[in-house]
Amino acid sequence: MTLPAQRVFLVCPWYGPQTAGGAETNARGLAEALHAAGVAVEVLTTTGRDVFSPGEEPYPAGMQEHAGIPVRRFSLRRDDGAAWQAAHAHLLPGDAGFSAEEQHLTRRLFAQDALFSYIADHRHEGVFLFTPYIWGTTFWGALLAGENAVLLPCLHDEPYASYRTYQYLFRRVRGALMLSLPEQALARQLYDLPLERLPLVGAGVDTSAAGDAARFRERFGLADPFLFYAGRRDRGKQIPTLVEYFAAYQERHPGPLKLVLAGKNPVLVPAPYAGAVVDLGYVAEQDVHDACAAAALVCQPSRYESFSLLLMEAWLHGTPVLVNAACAVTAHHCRESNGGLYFQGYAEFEACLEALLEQPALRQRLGQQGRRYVLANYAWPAVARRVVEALEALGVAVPARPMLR
Amino acid sequence: MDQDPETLAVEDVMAEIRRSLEDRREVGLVQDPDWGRYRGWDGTPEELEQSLRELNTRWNQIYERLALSRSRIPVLGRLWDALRHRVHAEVRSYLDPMIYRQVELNAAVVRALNGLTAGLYGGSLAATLEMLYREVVELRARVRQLEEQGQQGAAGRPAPEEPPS
Repeated sequence: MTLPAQRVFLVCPWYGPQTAGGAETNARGLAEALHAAGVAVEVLTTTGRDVFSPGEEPYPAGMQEHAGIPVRRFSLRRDDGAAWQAAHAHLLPGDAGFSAEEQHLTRRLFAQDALFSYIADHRHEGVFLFTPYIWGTTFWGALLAGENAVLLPCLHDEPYASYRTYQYLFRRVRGALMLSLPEQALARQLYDLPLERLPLVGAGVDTSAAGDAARFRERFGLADPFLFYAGRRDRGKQIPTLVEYFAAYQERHPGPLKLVLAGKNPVLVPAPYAGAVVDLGYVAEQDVHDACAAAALVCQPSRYESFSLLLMEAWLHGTPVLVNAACAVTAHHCRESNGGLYFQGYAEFEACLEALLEQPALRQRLGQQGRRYVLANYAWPAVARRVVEALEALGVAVPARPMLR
Repeated sequence: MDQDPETLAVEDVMAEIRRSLEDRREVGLVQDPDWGRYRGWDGTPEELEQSLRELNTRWNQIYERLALSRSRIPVLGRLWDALRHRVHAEVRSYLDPMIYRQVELNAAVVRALNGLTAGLYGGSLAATLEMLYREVVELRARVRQLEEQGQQGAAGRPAPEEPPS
């Protein structure tokens, strides 16, 4: 049945220019791209900042506007949501018997009941895009929106993706928009869904963003060549491994090379290597672009990525990347773009780094190939067009979109 | 994506890198670093170092993806495969959440041990304390200098007026 959507509601636990996180950044970019393309978008979110700042509420509750997009904010939840969930147990299958472990993540509701009431009351007024898959706002919100729910899951090959709660969720919604081919393959494998319910849309990057290498070097006092990483710095993203690998590389290849890390959460650097590892802490988006332009290469060691905006930003500025071969998504991007190398274990990390650092021509060529890939596939207008086409393929009649016609 | 003949294929670059690595490995030129050295250890008992190294490499080696080989028997083999998949999936739906929680616990324990040992054995905690101590010394000297300048200035200057309300 075709759903005549009046609006696209984008539901995300956190939303704002200061909000950190890949899925959240993607949500903001998509909302702005759809809005720019003439699609009526409304964001439903909380008053919270982001997952790194629990309890912080920098935004007031109620209706606001960001970049011309209406953003309806709901206060952060103060209770554990148990009473709300008990009252909505009918949304789960009678014989579900989900274990406590499986329900654990769906209990992270974040928003107060008013958000869920709003979704239930307005579910016939448009299509609801929920992101990312893991939180309670998506799980319960999508069940409430029923056939008008579409996921933008940012699915990773991580253990909880196999939970039956998410299998149930993915099978209940109209479809899920996929950021990459490996993510699509994972969703098919985990939830046994047909391809037509998992359209590939990709994520976007602001291709007009400029990077100024000299500005970055001056601002942070960095004259030496460096490897750059920006994002969450924890074991899930393999950052301790990157620090260890880099320390080992430094010892075997003494020189001025530095590892520059940017991100919100703290990172532990062994004292002897503190001089070679520069921790910038949280930096503005422009600083990330500048750093990507200044870096010899960008390293993304994570195994769990559904897209990796960092790779796109590196390539946008013509900088090659080095990724973990164990991550299907980033390794796929490297092979498709021919814009970077991939390592499996320390020996390959060292060999790839040697090859890239000793051959400026190779670095430049890979960087330029990466840049062509980004410009050809991941400019926001193209992503917005694919999202609208994907929604239409899922049976949603997307409202006025003059810029896309 | 169609490939331009001018494109440098990273798969070729990787194949070359791996070939060269294999050649070097064959003649014993590729050796793994001593990982204990890169985690802030200095003069620790060997067994403790070994245990930590193991913990750091094996903390998440529990979870494995479901990969069953296919039966080659026609018709019945497909039924058998479907049944095996069903049973395995059922068992894993119980096991996976437990495994995941164990991995989370392992990660927390390893993180805590790394942090504690780095601090105990001259790692980042000691370095931070040293840096803070130096900063305190410098700031004290600066305060003293400013106090002295203030006293010298006050001796040759009239008392300041009341600020405007």
